Amino acid sequence: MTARKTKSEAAPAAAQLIRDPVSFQGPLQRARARCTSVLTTMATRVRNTEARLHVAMAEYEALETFDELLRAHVENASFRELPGIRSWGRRMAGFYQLRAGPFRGVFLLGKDSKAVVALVFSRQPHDSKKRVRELAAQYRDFDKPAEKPE
Amino acid sequence: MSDAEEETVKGDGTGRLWLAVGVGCLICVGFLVYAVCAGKASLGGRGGVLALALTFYMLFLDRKTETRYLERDLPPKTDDAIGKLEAHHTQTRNALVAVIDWADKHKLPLAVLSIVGTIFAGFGDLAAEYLIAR
Repeated sequence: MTARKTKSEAAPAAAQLIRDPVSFQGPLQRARARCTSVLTTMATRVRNTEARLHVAMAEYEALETFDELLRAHVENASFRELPGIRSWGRRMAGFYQLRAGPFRGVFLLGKDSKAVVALVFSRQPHDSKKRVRELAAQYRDFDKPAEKPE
Repeated sequence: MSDAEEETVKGDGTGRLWLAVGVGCLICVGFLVYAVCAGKASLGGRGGVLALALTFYMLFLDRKTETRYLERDLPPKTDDAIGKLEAHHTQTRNALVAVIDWADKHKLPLAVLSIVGTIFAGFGDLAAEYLIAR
């Protein structure tokens, strides 16, 4: 099966990050658009405006933190320092997670730690282990020399 | 209402305020019970005084959402001068609305604890005296 690869980012002397367009980049952009929309749209009602802004601010700051941490891990190729993922008490080999606020990104690390696939981006409650496995199956050979995209 | 708005309606941030009200009421009743058990009616009103002090603490239990929001440079919808002006106006107005909203939410728990504390401070000793005499 050909691995789905879209935008690959080659950071200088760093890990090569491949973002899954459907399960990572899409949800990340939607989360960013959603909280930005709440923060930049004029409130038409007074009731609960403070609560809406509070949640949107928390998410906006969490997304900024997520981006900064991701950038740092890509630059330093330090995804192995992230916590792993457990399923039924057993660690899923090769998978790492990056959490910021209510958001979580799941990453699949290549054998040499230089190639990384950003598999899934999700918001609480996270219920994405099955999806992670499905996607990982599609990126089986991602850390081998890249094939020409179709 | 959008999903985002529905979700945020569930947590309006007044949990801490009502917790403070609960603690204040417990202090009031606790001192009354203590006064009756100890046989010292003068202690019956002390709880009310402490509850009133707690209401001052409640004034500082806001989440400073507006402060964090106003300190942000949020992206304007368009990059021209009108877009930036609109973004600035929206941000200022939303912060003002949030301040009004919080002030509205803040009033009830503050009033409840103030009234309870005042009643116990003023009449707690009399209530304790009555209960001791029974």
